[in-house]
Amino acid sequence: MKWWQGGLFVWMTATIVAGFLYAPLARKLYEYTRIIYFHIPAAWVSMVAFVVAGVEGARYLWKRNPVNDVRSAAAARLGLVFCALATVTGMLFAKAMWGEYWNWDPRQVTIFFLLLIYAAYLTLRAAIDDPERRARVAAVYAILAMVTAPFLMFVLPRLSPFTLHPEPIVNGAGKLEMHPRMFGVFLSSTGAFTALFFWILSVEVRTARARQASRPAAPREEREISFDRAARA
Amino acid sequence: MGGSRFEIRLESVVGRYGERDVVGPLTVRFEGPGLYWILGPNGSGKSTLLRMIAGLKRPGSGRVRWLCQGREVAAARLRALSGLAAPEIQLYRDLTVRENLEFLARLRANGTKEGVREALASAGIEHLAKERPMSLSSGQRQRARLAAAWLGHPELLLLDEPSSNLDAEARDWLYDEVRQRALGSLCLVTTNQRGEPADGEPRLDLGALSYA
Amino acid sequence: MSIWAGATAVWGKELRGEWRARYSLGSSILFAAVTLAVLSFAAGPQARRPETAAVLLWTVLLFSATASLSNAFAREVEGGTWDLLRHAAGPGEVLLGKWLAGLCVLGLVEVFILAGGALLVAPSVGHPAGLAAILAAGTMALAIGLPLVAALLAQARSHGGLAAALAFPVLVPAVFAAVSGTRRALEGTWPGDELRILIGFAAALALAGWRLFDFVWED
Repeated sequence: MKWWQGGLFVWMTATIVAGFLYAPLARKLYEYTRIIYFHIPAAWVSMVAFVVAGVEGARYLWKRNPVNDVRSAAAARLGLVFCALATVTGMLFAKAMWGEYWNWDPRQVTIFFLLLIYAAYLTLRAAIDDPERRARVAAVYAILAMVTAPFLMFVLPRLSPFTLHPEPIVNGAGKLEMHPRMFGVFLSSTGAFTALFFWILSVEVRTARARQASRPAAPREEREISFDRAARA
Repeated sequence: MGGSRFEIRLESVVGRYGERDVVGPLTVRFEGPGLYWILGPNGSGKSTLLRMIAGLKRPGSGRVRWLCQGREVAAARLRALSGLAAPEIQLYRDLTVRENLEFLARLRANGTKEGVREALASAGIEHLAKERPMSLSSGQRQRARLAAAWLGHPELLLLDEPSSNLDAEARDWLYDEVRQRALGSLCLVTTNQRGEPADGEPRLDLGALSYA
Repeated sequence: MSIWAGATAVWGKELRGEWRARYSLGSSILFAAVTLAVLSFAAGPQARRPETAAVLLWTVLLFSATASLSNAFAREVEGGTWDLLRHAAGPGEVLLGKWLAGLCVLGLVEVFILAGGALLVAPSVGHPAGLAAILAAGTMALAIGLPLVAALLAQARSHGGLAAALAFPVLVPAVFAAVSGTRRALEGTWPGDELRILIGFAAALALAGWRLFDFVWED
């Protein structure tokens, strides 16, 4: 194990422990406070993964380097996992706090449609056999999804400003309303989740590269053809 | 020989599907006007090569250059200067043969109503102009594809196995027509029939190139 | 040749083919009829309420639009005309032509849906101009987004079942804004916010699609 992998393990463990033993409980959330350290970072990572998938897709279209496509697809797969985690943890919190798993809260809707976008992207990839075409088409879809995402995440909630989500960090007043220890653990968890995402992403990319290297293409010798001018006259 | 000088240069071009190289690396220059044959058995990459020359397929590596009178031709202009007929290319089934050609003439900006009539006549199907492609026989449909390809007398004429679905008499007519057009245009014709090129006509034999 | 001239050629070809074969129009009108009947029957008298009528309208329109426009490019590939078109036309001409044709087809389907809705549901319309504006903007967003998804779908095998899966997540912002705006128009308010969102969304999708289509176009 490399030193930083061990470090990430310790960091994650310490954050989980701190979430239960160090950070205080929020006034109206009681024990449900703990979910902040898992649900929000998972949602955050799912959006980071979304941006990475789109950006790597754009880089593929620009440079046509297969590694960018590998990164884009890997980011989407991971994004789907983190998005599913965020959706499920959010639903558990909603059930505990408001009595229903689903309340059509704007943020719930946003994360759900992000999940659908990920699923659609991966389904599209699976439906195309040719690797170059798959990379190109998937990249276009990822970029189109990135264009529509700001409308889903920031513009549409203006139509329905009411949200059930507590807003200790991102709120209309622009004020941080979280206890400093809670905020510290929250930041630590977000950082650890993000580091975990990029680490797993790098493992996926290395695996894909190793798979490609194990199938070397047989080199083909160049042929230069010239035509007899007499034959063309 | 008359006709403008249209030239195609393939520089280390590779035709690739997925991870498989089907043709190349190949460096070759076709200089017009004139007729070139691209020979080879099925799977030798003839159609792939023609698609790259037509600008329909990006080479896996290397590049294709088109030059007219020594100047590079951009992709947008290539559309107006070239015509292509291939077995997998069909005309629109809901348009008549004439409507198909008029549509192509508008897109390529290289044809008039008179040009459409002339293309149909030279393909021997002017009497079928009001028919829809699906009501034609396979030989007649092939003639319609050829009419669409040489509509507007393109500088570059690309024919992929044009004699398929044609009987012997029609085949003779076709190659007489192509040889006539090659006096003023650059014509590239693919075939898997070794007997089709006449003696002395330049040929690129993909089947004879081994890449082992 | 200008892009506009090529686009009108493609537009004309699409409409002519649509008129003769009615492959998109026929299936989407039938689809709209069935969906409208089923949903309005299920909703009963509640369907007249602005929020229900708005959802009903855009559900029927979205599904009908998907049924009609999602094959815009797959038809070309399956019919063997994709390479014919790619060799003769530029990507911009084809995309613009398909957009214009899609808008015409959707417009016709919408007339049918509105007539059916007026008969079966008959909600009261508080702000007719607002409703017309929302319909126009929402239809434009669908007519821009669906052909883009259709172009991606044409590259895949078995594209039939994927249309809704690919299109809906991308079009959700437009649909949500359209539903909200329609509700407000039915209630009698000018849906200014929703119109701005729809127009901004359609513009963003059009710009991105215009640039990205080149990558779908190539082989």
